[in-house]
Amino acid sequence: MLLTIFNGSPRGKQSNSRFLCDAFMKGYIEKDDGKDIIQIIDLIEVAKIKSLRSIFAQSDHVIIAFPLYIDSMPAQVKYFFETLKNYKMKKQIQSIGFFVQSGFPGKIHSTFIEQYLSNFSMRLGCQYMGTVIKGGGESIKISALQKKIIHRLIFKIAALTDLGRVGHLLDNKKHFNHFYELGKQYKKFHYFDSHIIKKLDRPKKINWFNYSLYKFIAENFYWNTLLKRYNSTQQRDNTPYS
Amino acid sequence: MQITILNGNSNPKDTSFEQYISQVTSQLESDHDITNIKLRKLKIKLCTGCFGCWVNTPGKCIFNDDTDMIRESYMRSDLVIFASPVIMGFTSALLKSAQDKLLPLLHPNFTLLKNEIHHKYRYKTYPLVGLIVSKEPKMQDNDISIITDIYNRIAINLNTSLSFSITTQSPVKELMYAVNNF
Repeated sequence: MLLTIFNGSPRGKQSNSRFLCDAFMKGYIEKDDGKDIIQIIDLIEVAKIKSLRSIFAQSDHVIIAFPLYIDSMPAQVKYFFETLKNYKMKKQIQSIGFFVQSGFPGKIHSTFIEQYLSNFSMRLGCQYMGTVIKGGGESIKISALQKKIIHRLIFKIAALTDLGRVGHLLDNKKHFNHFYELGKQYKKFHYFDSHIIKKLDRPKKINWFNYSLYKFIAENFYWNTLLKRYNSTQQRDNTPYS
Repeated sequence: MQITILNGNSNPKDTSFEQYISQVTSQLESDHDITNIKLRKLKIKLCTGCFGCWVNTPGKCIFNDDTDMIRESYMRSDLVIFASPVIMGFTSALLKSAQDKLLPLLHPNFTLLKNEIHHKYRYKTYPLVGLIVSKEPKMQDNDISIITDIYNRIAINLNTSLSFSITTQSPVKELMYAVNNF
């Protein structure tokens, strides 16, 4: 059985989506019985996307992972979907599932594209395996960016205590563990474990306190750090099309 | 009123879609200032998710392509019409490539809207948006409502609202009514 994961992040191998796919694959191959093959393919270059549909067609099962760009799939992923239109496949793909991760915490941002993905699977005649939604995905990069020991310590405490119900988003190890477990369960039972999906959903609702805390962390420890790196802090509010 | 039509039809042989957009353009032109942008004729470098438009050259994409003209026309408009044939259940990848490049119009910081986190708005006002799609064969019953739901979300993130969503099966006068009465 061949399982192919297509990583639809334009950032390719350095993307948060790819890190989550890698963790899933590690879980999937933990108990290798030699019967199943898993591969991850990056959908970066549009010029090569058409050639990738043969890999899609050879697969028994497919997972497509992508970050939410302006409330839906990045253009690369849509180009890939369009190459599948009227493409005659020699065999039927058995199932298709999706990983969608958004920068914003909360599931709500990705629920609308989830409905599309369900229809897309039906369009291809595949069993829809569901969509794993991961909110607050950019937090992976926020944590990785911290160089100062004191900041790392603060992040560690916030993550351990799940401060304001957004602290867990800073715990990269936990995110990757969830996807590792997801891969393990998928290999065993061939579905996305609903208990793990629920853990990734948090927080379901954002209140003023969650928001303020997330805003403080992301703006001060991420955007400001990057703006300083590029010496662009003074230009941060520019409105070039006014 | 300034109106920009972002035409995401990638197939020039799809004459029925082009004819519909031509009719819309010619009828709107009598009362409005129309910019009709055929995206297939532009050089669009796909968004790489680098965030350069937020942290390196705030407000502008770091890549030099034709999307600067799209953003300029977008922000100059009172209404932007996204137009596209439906392909594989959603608007075209070509239109999506232009939409992804609207990110510089937003600010990296955050705001709270109805218990949802969104990006802060870089500009005080943004144009209203509308949607024209042409149906493809074998569409599922709820395809158009799913597309409309997603465009409603896009509108929220772009600090505006979706003023209409119509298919090319609707008479042009229906669109004229929507434009002239929003």
